[in-house]
Amino acid sequence: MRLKICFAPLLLMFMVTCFHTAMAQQNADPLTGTWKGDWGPSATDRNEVTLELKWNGKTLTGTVNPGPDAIPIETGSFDPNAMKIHLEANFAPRNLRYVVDGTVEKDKITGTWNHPRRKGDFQVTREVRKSESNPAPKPNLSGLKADEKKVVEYLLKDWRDGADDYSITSVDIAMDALRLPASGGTRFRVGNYLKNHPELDEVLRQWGWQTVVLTPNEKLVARAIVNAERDKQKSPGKSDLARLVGISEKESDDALRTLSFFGILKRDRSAGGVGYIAAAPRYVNWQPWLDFQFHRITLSSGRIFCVN
Amino acid sequence: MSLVSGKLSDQSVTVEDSSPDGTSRIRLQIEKGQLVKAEPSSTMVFIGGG
Repeated sequence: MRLKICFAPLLLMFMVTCFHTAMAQQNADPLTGTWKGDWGPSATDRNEVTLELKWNGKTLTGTVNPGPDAIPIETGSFDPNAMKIHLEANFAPRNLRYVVDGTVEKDKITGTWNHPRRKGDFQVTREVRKSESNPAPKPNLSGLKADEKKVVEYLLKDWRDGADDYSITSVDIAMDALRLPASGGTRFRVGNYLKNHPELDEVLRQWGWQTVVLTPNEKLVARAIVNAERDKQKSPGKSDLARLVGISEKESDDALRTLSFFGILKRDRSAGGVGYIAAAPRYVNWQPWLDFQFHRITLSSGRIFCVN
Repeated sequence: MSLVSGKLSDQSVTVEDSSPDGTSRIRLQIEKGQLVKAEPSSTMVFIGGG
């Protein structure tokens, strides 16, 4: 009997806890908030977009790109069972009616859009308000030397603080900002660390380590080699490669070595020219990804960062 | 372009870019949201995508 009395409050607490959890899950709003991302007709032609969505349990309303040029969502619906949204909005300046269909998965919506003349895809991610977000856990950077840790910590801070600028600052820019010598060894070790630790930041998972680890010269050298392979052309020779990319032959050799170190290119003398080919089929058909793209922004204030 | 014409619209901005199908470098100079220089001169700048 005594045992039963002791258990009663515990059982009640357990039931209340379960009920609260179930209610919280049921009431969790999968849509309301600010969503940011990009849209476009192809993987290489993207435009930034912001969606402000409000879901009251029955009706989905909101605006596209809130501000002076906001476009109101005229028709909006959400199927919470299938987690599908449907939006329609009229872009008056061009007299175009956009129809958007997407699927909500946790804090991400992906889908397609079309208007009478074009179509494409989009992806947006829900912004977490700073007050709601947990502070970033301190990454475990064991195995890195002091300078290498500084570079990784600089990047993680820049990516997080610069999220509004879509900053995806690269390793060489971080090293320059920290006034570290342009040592290939430091960059190799930091690059290799980022390659093997995608859990460090969403930038690495979303854009790939290649985009932040390789320099513009290395990206252009990679392109010259893999695009020739893709187009079934002979690989460029040493002097041609340097001329194509606008760098010295030594810089071109250094870039080839780095690309080989990171497993992007591999030696194959049968390719002719400098004797390198893509180390994986993904790199021959790289353009769905942004591995070898760069968009480097320099502000008059001196700040340098990259965007995609 | 939406970044330089939005959040960075009061700044002098240099964008170093490249042609994705080739190895040509492209350099854009943007002053307060307005494109003032594009190198090489054959560069075609498309704004918007939809």
